[in-house]
Amino acid sequence: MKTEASGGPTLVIPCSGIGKVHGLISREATYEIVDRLAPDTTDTLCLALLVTGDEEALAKVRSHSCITIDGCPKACSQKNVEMAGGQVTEAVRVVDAFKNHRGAQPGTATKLSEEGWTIVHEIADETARAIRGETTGGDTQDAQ
Amino acid sequence: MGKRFAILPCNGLDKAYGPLSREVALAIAEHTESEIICPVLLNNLQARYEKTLSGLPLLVVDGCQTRCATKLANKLGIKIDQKIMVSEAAKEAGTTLDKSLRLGPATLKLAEEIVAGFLDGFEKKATTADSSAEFDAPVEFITVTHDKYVFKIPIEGYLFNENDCWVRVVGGRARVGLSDYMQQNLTDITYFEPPEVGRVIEQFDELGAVESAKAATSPISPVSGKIVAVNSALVNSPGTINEDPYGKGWIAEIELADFESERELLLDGSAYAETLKKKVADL
Amino acid sequence: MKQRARSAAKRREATLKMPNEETLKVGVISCSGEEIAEGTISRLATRRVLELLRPGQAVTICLPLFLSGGQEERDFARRHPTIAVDGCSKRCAKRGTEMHSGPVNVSLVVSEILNGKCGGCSRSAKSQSEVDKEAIWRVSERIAAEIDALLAQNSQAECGEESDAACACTRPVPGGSLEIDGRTVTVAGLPLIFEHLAESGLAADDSSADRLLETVRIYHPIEPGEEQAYKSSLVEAYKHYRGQT
Repeated sequence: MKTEASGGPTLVIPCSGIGKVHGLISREATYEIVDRLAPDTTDTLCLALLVTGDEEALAKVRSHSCITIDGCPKACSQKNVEMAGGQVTEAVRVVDAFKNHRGAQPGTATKLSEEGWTIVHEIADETARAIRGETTGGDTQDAQ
Repeated sequence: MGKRFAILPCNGLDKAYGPLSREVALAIAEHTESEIICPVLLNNLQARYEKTLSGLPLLVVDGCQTRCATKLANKLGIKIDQKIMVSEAAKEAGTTLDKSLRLGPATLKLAEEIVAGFLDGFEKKATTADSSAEFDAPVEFITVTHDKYVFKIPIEGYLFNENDCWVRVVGGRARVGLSDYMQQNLTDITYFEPPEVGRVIEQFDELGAVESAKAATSPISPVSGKIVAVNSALVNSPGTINEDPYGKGWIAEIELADFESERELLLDGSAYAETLKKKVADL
Repeated sequence: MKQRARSAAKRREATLKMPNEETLKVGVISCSGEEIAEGTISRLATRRVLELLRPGQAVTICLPLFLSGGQEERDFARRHPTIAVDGCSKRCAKRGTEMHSGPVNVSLVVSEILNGKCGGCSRSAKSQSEVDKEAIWRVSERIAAEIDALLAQNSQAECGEESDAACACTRPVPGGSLEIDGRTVTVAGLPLIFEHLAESGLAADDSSADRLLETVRIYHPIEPGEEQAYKSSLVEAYKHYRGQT
């Protein structure tokens, strides 16, 4: 079912879980990447379309590299993209980012606090660097 | 050769885990000169294995979360000494099994790894900072439902305090942890600070710290005594408390000081379920 | 009237699930679609309903978890009435719920509720403008109204009573009368609508006609061709409410 990803934008697909702040962080990090940090090389896609079998969405994930950003270990985005035949080149988990932010109060599933936005920026920056092929701690290039 | 076992594999046939459990059982049996028990025969003619089971500790090898072999042993009242769950081992190893029920190369390799891990781990002595491995995870639960949330409470063997922490007592030693309700309330736990091994605590003292994006809390000990072991694996994988709050998510082991008199302040599973119903009704 | 009958029929299409012992709540499944702003509006409107408008009466169901096998979410949706809130006409939340739990009781589409007026809306919650806030308000009020209708319907079904307008507690909400093309029309909740709009600073003059119409339309069906009559009557009624006539 999986096909080799061709050229074209990398799809960044968040879980957008509505119950916890992690879902909101996954969503906002995605927008930061596709709208600001790497607008020419990334795009997003509605996860719900994949799971309800939208042909266009399925064709897209099967023909583009995919990065999933999941809020929690249930990994809904990663699982669903893989089940749809997409090739997940990087599976990001928001919950892992919290390990560097002990004591942070990121906000709620409706609204992020300043700390929540800090975590968003961190995840987005790191993911955008991975998309550009930069390694952590090496020389960086300016975002295009 | 090491310790010998009576080994009960699940032998399931609807998924690849079943044949894998069988392969693991056979390999361990060969290495340790243990005896294999046929689950079908055991279920139909328990007497056939009476002598075996009276002389050897039981090792159960389950294929998947349905835990058929464990359930069979429990049903027949046979004490389980050791357990292996091959689906969890596959997940931890990041291995995708061959789809066929016949054993392919990936599955055989995983079987070797599981067997090696079991034999290696079994030979290590438990340290004062790690599990004493006497505590079986619960298999049967009662549930309390609130909206879409289902909170599980083990039917037997667990007592609770009103701070939503549990204790399981085996001899003069107890293991403690957070209830399913508490872990769901916290949501994804991102940080665990273990209590100090060797510390003497009173009933209702704090046991380390647990933190999530939603809240930070300190587990409240249901019993008094001396902390003799902590679950150090939680430091790197605090989410284990969410995944398996009554099993692998245990927090500490305590050498009990005065359990009999403290017991009356604790609730059994049914009583805890009743208090939980009232608690969630107020949410 | 036809529109109201159609809405009522649509609500009854899916069997109202009535759990025996649990408190009846309404499950709201938002599509949270990432590609368009309407997905964000569906999400934030649902959260507003849960946190502010109908706390204790609504439960949000996480669509990604629901679709990827969340058994608790699916079981809840089987036992309780559900409202699907989709961003666009693809209706992923509705279809997903039907696939895994059964028919939804109400299907709402943000783009339809807003009549396409979502041009200035943002996908990200970071940069929310007045247009976004207005859109979220309108959609959330619509969801809340549907929740009230579902809970009232359940209550009526239990008691065998019929009433035209009720909130979840089954007491009738205060209505207001308008003169529309020579007939008297009762609009349920009109004083409450006026109260809300007054608090938000809506002026009591002719410039408010469109806003009055769009707000009332959330709760009360308006036949095509009657918009102008409603606007005129609403402006007069609102001025009267504000003590200017």
